[in-house]
Amino acid sequence: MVPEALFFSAILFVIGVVGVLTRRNAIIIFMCVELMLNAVNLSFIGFSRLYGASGQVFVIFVMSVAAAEAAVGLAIIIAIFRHHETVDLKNINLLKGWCSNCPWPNRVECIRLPAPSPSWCGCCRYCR
Amino acid sequence: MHPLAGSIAELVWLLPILPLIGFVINGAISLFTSFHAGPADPSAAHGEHDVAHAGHEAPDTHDEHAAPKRAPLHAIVTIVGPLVLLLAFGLGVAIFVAMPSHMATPFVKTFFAWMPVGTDLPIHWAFQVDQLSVMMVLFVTGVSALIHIFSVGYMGDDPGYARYFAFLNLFVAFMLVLVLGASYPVMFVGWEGVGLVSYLLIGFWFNDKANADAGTKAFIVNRIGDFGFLIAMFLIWSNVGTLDFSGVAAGVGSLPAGGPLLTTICLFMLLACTGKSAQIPLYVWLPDAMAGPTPVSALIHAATMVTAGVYLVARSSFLFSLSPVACLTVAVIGAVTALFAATIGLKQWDIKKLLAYSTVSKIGYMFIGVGVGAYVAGLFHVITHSFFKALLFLGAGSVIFGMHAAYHHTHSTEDAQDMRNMGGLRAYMPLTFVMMWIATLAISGIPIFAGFFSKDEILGSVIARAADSTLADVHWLGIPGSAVLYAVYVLALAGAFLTALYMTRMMLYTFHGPNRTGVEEQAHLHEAPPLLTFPVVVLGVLSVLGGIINLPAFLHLPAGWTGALDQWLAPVVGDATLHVTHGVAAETPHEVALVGLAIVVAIAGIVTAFVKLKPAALVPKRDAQPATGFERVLENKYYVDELYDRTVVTPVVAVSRSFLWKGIDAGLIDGVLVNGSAWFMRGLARSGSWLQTGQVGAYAWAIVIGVLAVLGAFTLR
Repeated sequence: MVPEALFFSAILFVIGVVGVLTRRNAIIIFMCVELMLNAVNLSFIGFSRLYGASGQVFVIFVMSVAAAEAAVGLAIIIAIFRHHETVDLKNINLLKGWCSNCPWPNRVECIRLPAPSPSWCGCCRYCR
Repeated sequence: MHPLAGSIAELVWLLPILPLIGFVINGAISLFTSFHAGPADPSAAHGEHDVAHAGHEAPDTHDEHAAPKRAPLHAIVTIVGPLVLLLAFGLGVAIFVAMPSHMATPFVKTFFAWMPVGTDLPIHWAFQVDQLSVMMVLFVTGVSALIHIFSVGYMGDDPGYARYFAFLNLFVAFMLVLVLGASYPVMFVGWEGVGLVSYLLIGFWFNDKANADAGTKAFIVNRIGDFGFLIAMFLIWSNVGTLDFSGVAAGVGSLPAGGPLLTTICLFMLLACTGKSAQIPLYVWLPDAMAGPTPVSALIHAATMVTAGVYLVARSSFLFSLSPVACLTVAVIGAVTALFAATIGLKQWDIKKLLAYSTVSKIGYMFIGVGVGAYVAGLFHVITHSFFKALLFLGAGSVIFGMHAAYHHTHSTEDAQDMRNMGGLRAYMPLTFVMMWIATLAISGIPIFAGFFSKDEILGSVIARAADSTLADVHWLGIPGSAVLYAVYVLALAGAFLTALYMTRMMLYTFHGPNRTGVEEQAHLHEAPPLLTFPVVVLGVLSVLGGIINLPAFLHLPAGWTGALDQWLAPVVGDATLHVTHGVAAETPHEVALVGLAIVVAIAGIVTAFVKLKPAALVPKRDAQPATGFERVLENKYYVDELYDRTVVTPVVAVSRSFLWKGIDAGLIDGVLVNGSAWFMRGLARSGSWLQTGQVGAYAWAIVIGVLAVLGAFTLR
């Protein structure tokens, strides 16, 4: 029973990882993270058959934390959507500092990028 | 058990503390009552007269002839300032009385460990009571007390009265540390301290920038000398292993006598002495130091501080006597300075400047004395010189005081210190006139007067050393030592002639002939008040009788009358003197003839002045024609200040500006090191930021690959 559970858990985890790595939509990535969490839950349940009920207790904890995390994460994604009018992570790159293709790398104010890009340039933290 | 242990000499710590207490009290009064209104000094005439004129045009303003408003607590300053000095002098006398007639070893009183550096260099705060230091204490406190009393009258109306006495007390405290210190570092504290106070007092009327600049000049020039003192101390410590006088005296024998090391130490020490004692090449600060109040010039820049260099050489006689080359250098510098300064003194019109060059010249004689190993003669001249030079300066102070008062009454802006504006003052200041003649005869070396005995002892010692001594045996820059010493004698004799000449010139132009002050002013010229004349008279008596402390042997006086100072100082400098003279007491050949020659030279100087100089033909300063030819060179002091400016000051400033400031500081430190490191780090961060794409996917890939790498590493281990 345990090896099967671990087998499916591993498959589920890899699906989650591949989803996180390959998708660009923030909500899809978020769902894939949930998949990875559930994969871990599955292996906890499996191991609890060998080592007693503590694994199941862990699952309860993980699910409650995941619920809280889902609330916060979705709120952030909504905030990002309101700000950037997109949830495509290709356009959310504030962490990098200056964008490599920005024509005005040192300016103080950001500008709205010309079409077809729908967003502000995101070059600096003064974007409004 | 030392004979002085348990005696009053245990209270030696009180000697510098007493003036220090005066400094604290007066300084506190000065700080808490200051309402400084600007310079009101007799010798700083101009600025104050401008104020007086402004007031005169507007009749409603105050009456400038009314006595100036005095600072609060003026009376306390008047009492405390001189009193601490009198107490210190009394204590000095008590210690002197308590000393046995022949004390072989100095009494060293150690108070606390001051700078214990490891175990190799335990520097203690210790005072040394021996014949030399007690002698210095006596004349420092005695002359200082007289000058403090003079200052009460001279500076009474100055707004900075309390500040003045605070500085004057502080000076005496440091001077006593200088002469009492039992090791070079303690002495150095006093050495630096008197330099500091000298700076403070030269720039006492700092509202005038020229005065402040003169103080700065003195300070900086003295720093050059202090560098020599420090190097000499370092060399002594690294080679002898101690800095106590007694320790160095005992340990210096292990060094090669006459070797380059000892000579180097002595020459660095000589550099310190030339700075503090105003000898060539560092004498330039002393004439400018006359910007200070006249009693300060008398105390610091004539009688006491400037003789510190002579004291240092005498105190280090155990070093100098082992290095004949250094001794000859000291003597040559002294002789050249004596003649050089005397020639400049010939054409000075400012009475204080003239006395300043006279001081430089006379300290040159002291250097000749201590240079040729006649330490007692040099110190003897220190004492007699302190008497008659303090007398000259205080007399000049009385003259300036009277001149200024006269000009003040008539609102004239004439120069109260210029001798061309004086003349015929003997009718107005008879007492000062007599006292100044006494001092002039003393400094010229006329028999009976104090300066005669000390100067002739120096000159006789030079001839004695030239005949037979370690100095005569060596070569100095390739010249035989005896030839150098004969040259020194000739220079000193020429300087003696010029001394008599320029001092008589000063007397003639100041006190003889017609008065040139002005008709209106003559009504206000009068003798100085008793508070000023009392110290002058005391110093006058000392200038006459001062020679009694060391009468020469050729007078054939009863035993006990001759050579008192010789016997007194024998435990301190006797060994060093004997070392220079091959271990036998020096005999001066043809001594009486030499003395006669010196007297003839001095009288010739005075007679020349009387014959050549015509005070009647002199015109006041405002009508005077500019000097021409060599006279102009002398009046401009051989352009030495200009020479130093061109060769030292300007290049130093230029190098500092273009290389040290713009090159090193702004270029290397600010540009390359400070801003450069910031630029470097910014560039590094920029290149590193290419890794930060901001794409969450890329970060996720990095995490996954990292996790796989770590897990793989654990699995495959």
